[in-house]
Amino acid sequence: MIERFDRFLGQQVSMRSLGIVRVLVGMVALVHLRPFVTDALRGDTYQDYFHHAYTAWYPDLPEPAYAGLLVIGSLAAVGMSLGLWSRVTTRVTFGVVAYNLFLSTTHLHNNRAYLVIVLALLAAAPCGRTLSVDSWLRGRRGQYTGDQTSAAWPLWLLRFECAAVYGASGLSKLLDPDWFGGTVTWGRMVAQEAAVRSSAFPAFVADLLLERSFHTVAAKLIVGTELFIAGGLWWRRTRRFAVAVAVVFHVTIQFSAEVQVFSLLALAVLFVWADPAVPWLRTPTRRAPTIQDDPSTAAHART
Amino acid sequence: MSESTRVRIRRIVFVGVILLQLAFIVRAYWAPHKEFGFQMFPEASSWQAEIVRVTVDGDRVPVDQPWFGYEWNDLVPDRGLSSPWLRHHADAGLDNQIAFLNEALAWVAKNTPRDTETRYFEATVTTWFNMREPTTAVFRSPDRDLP
Repeated sequence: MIERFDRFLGQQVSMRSLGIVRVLVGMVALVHLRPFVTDALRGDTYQDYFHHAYTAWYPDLPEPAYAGLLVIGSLAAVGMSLGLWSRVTTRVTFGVVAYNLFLSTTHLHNNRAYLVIVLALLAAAPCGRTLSVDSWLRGRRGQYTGDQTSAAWPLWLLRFECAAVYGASGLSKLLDPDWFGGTVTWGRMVAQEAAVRSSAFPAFVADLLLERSFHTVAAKLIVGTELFIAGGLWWRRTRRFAVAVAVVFHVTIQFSAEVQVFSLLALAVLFVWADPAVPWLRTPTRRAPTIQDDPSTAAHART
Repeated sequence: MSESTRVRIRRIVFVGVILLQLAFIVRAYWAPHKEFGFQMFPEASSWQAEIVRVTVDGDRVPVDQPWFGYEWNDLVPDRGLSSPWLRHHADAGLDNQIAFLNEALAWVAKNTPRDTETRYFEATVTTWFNMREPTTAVFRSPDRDLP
């Protein structure tokens, strides 16, 4: 049993999907760090106003050093996205984003916590083997570029985290009678009635959004959507539909709520499901190319 | 490092990350800041606070008035804590908001050295949990050391 589990974790899989996630998440990290960098370069940091450290021993840097660290993190995020010195830049990006997050309880938001998890898993995987300046440079120097595979465990952990975010959110709403019964979404709409009425929605849509009974149904649809995404991603038959539902879900959230980089990040991470990198998840009509499929690469491999 | 050691470490890391994530999800049901618990848009609750400085003379001065060159909104601009005298939505739930407010009271008490008259800060907080009837509670900062 344990041997099978170890073989499953160590199975060599394509790093293509993680390469796509790396490219996109590097840009997301840059967007995330930008307001911190802009403020810090103006001399405005968390140290100037209310913040609350998780632990007394966590190191605070002097403000110029903190600003410098954020600049380094931003440059690393660019390098990570380009795939330039991928291993180093991904780890530096993770280090800077995680350090900044854990400086204060006030820095923590769900989207930032998710970003740190994704960066940690990307830092643990050789995701720069494909779709990167590194692999392009290796090719230009005539070095072997064919091995774009690595052990499967970071990919599976990222898939688990992706599903866990939807599952945790959906479960918390399912277990909360106020949420599942529609009180929470209705309450938010009522609190923003003026904004809803002055929006581009036709009057009958605004009336519907402010109707209590509408939310009795809508809340259950929202909970069902989140739980379906969390579960549907795991099965080949439902995966494409679950990804499509997730895309619509995040686009809707982006236009209806303040969620910082959450939508961008969640959409980027969905790419871990897009590539049938693990053999038994390949669709019957599609097969990932192997070294033997490409004569030129095979020649490189032989040399 | 031998192959067997690497395989064992990989197994421990994989299972450890999954268990840790599940533990964070469960912990979020009682932890005010819900770190890594991913409970999105949890409540429609709202809150409002009358915060005063209680001076050594026993005077109660609202913090919407500047004091010794300090202003509440400059000291506490984040996490929905600015202008607490207005009613706000508790974005991440009331527990989270009250925890932040308590931490903010303590931080302001500790980080306003020019203030030589305030003994402590006190917040009378009214909360509306998911549009229900309001409830009121009083919170106060630790006592400040004054010269």
